[in-house]
Amino acid sequence: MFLKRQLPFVITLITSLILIISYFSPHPTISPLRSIFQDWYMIIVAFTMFVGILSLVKVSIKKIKREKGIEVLYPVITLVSLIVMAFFGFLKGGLDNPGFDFMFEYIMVPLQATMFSLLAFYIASASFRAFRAKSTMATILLITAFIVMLGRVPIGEWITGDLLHFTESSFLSRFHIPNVTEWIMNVINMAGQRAILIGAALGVMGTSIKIMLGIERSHLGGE
Amino acid sequence: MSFWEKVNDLDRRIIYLIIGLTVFIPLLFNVTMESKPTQPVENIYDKINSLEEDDVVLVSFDYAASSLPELQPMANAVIDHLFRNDIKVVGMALWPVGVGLGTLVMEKKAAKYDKEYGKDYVNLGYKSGGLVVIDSMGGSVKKTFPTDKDGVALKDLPIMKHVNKLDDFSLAVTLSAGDPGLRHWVMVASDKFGLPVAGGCTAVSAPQFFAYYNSGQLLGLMGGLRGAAEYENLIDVPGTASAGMSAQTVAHLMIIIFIIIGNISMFIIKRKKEKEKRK
Repeated sequence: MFLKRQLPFVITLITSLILIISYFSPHPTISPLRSIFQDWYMIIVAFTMFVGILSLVKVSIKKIKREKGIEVLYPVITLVSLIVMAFFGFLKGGLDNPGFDFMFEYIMVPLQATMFSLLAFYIASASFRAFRAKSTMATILLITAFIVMLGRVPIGEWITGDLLHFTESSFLSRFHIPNVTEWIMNVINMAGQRAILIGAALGVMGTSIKIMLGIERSHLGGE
Repeated sequence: MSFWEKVNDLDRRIIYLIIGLTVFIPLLFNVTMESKPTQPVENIYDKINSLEEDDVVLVSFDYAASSLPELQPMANAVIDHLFRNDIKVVGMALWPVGVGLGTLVMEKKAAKYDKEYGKDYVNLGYKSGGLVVIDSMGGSVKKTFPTDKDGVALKDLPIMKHVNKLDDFSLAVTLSAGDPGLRHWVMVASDKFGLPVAGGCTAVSAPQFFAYYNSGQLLGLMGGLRGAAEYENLIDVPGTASAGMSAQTVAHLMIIIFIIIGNISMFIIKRKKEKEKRK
């Protein structure tokens, strides 16, 4: 019980107190401790990568055993890719090894970029089916989205700039699409974003204090 | 089934095909559209122009290949501008894949401007730990990154001669696709160590960073492909962002048209159903 509960709590409390004090005080006793904790943190985070790899291998092997037909191919490809990339990464030259470099530039980068690019298709399909003016709020959201989407591309400048000459009049320039977009981003969006940021920061502070005082113990595997 | 009911149930493959064509055709014919630079992007350009030769700028490649279409053009434009002005560049990454992507950009631009590795630029590589890595660099860059990505000790590299702490850099530019990234650079490098921080991020995450820009914590901001195209326009080196803006413009228009058609079909079907009910 001591090793599982009390000891982690004491470590958490002492570590967090040292880190908080060191943030505000450059005292020579505290600063080296902070530096040591930073090194430990970076080493521990690096080790989580091994945990991730182990987990990936374990899940893939389970899938190979469980799946049938073409579904078996996916975990096999995952494992083979992992081993081959790691093998070339450990060869002479490391990241600059021609084999690793080739796979990185011509396989990994295009694959990752392609996966993300597929989002454009899903967004287009989803916007057609789901983005409907079913209520007043949905209509406001729809109009705002139209303005921001147009304001973020050159055609927005063209419509109210070159076509309607809004930018030539000081009053009408307020309705120039990029200017309206900027106003939406800097006023309406800003208010919402700041509220979210401040709320999240207060939440982080509250949770941190709860962890330090041992009120929040879920990270120890408790309630 | 009426016309509008057919439209309402439009096969998603047709939508995919239309979007595919609207993106592909402008790229195929290399249609470029000029993007007028906005203030947040101009601020980065002006800051780099105000730097003197031999100033050292830190560029952090905090993204993976999934964000490459948006962030790599920014990296290309910023590194091009820095090398053109004879400013020294120290690259690093808080994302593992960022090392390789940063290397691609720096090597390409170094060849263009005849820059020498170790003297004019260096790639420190990847270090795990996110925010803590930045904080640790505030204490000592050489302790946080004892070697560059190839294992050469930083103390042996001429570019690192006068760089010991984070505030020895004149500017930090981070190209970020999420966490760890721009938010952490603002929190630690800018707020704690007073280093001017400029950033580039994906279009989807740009709205959250405008709060940092407006409060002055962020010197400048490039948001998405548009931000990259604006920077390319400023340095007068058209790249993939300027070319991509035409595709993005048409794609945005198509999405707007899809939404309008979807809403028209919804209203017509709704009215038709109400009429049928009344009968």
